[in-house]
Amino acid sequence: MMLLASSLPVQPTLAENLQYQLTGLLVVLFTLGALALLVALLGRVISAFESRSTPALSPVVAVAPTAPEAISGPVFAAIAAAVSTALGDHRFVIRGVQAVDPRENLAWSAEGRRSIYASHQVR
Amino acid sequence: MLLDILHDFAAFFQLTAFSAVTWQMVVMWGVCGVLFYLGIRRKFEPLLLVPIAFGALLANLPTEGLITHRVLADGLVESGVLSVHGTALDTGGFRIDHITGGLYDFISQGIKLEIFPPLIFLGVGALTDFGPLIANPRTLLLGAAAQIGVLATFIGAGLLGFTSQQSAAIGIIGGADGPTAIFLTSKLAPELLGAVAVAAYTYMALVPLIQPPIMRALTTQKERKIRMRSLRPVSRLEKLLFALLVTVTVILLVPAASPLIGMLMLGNFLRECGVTERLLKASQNEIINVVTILLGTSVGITMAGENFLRAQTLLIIALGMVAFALGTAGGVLAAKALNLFSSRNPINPLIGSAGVSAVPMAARVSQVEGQKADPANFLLMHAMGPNVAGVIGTAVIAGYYIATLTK
Repeated sequence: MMLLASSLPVQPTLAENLQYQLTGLLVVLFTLGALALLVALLGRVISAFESRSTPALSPVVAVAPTAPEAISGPVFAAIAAAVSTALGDHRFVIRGVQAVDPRENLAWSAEGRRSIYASHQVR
Repeated sequence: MLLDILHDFAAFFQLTAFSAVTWQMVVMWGVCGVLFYLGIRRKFEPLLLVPIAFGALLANLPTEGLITHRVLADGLVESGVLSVHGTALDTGGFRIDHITGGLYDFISQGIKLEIFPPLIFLGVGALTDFGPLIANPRTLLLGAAAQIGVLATFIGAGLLGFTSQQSAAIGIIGGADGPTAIFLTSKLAPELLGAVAVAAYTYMALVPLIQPPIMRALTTQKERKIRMRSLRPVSRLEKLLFALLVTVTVILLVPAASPLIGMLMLGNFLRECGVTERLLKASQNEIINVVTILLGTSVGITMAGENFLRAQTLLIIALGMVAFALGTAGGVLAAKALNLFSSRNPINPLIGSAGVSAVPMAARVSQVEGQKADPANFLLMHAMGPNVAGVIGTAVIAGYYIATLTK
């Protein structure tokens, strides 16, 4: 029996209820699944469009990780001060400083980290 | 002289409301006290629980000019009853001369006419960044899978003797979305509004306690350590098109969800379009704050003792917990299932639990649990994807129930 045509009875049987809920699950999965496909498609179209309109980048020269000794004293002091502020009273030793490769997009991770540190006491 | 004063004083007492206090009211004062404690002392969703508790207190005092109660045939009390006075016209029409009612008879029309929950959604949309969801659209499926709690609890409530409409209202607690729960319940089972709203908001506040044991039980240490790829940046154009896409797609597929999805995406469009700063700020602050006060107190004012002090209230609260737990499990298991098909770009199953909505607390729980397994793993932004997908998913399932169960 097609329950949707007549709506579910006020006191449905278990079988009727199960059929009704599975239909509901299908509705949600279909709706959100369709949205997922459309959003993925939209993302591809936009990135293809943007890559066509953006001029090609010049080749990137590989840069070796920066050794701590290559960092100037004032910059190193600023990094140490930032770490100290973030960690509060905790003792720490900076064993190395490495530049983040700008080609890896870590902005979202950094944002998450920033929010966590901003709202919680570091343990 | 003294005797006259005493006589007048005694006569004055006949005008007071002490004699109208019932035992149900006194018990409900205790319930209000518990809600105040949870909201103020324990900080459980205080923005909603405090107005709800205060509204419940007002509902259980013999007030005048505030709210009109009407006792129904089954002993339940209907709150917020407006009286319309008018004249029948010869042409067959009716002319309204005046409408009488207390303050909350008018304000609570915002719930009865289904105005407040969509307005809250306007604010939620204005506050929500859908970027993580757009960057990883697979997480929409986690928001869908977490609705399993709603569906299973519907069946359980039916087996316990609730009607289909009441079962839908109880099941939707598992969606962990307060405005949607209120919207659906006021439409399908208004007699359960107080109990459903209290259960929904209490469990949303208890997310950090309810979810972690389930998440840990359903995942291995290795799975909890999965690091997900960084999300790509999402352009403003993409966010704008996403809002339009969701609006059109969901309304075409589930028209009954239009008030919720329409306002959610309107708020988000105002946020992303970048040229409606004043409207955005009003949606994010004044509108949502004012409506939250009116919505919370209007829900509380339905909690008359005669309605709330019933065995079925305890059943609703217990079933709400089941709905929440099953929703959490559904999201986690769906993430594990997705990993079977995408081993190159796996999902940390801990973010699946965020599919129950409860924005952003459920996403924070994923983050905290993820860091317990790997302190250098940051899941927060990844978990925001299923978290906001859960809002859309709950609105869709609510639309399905409303479309099929409205009398």
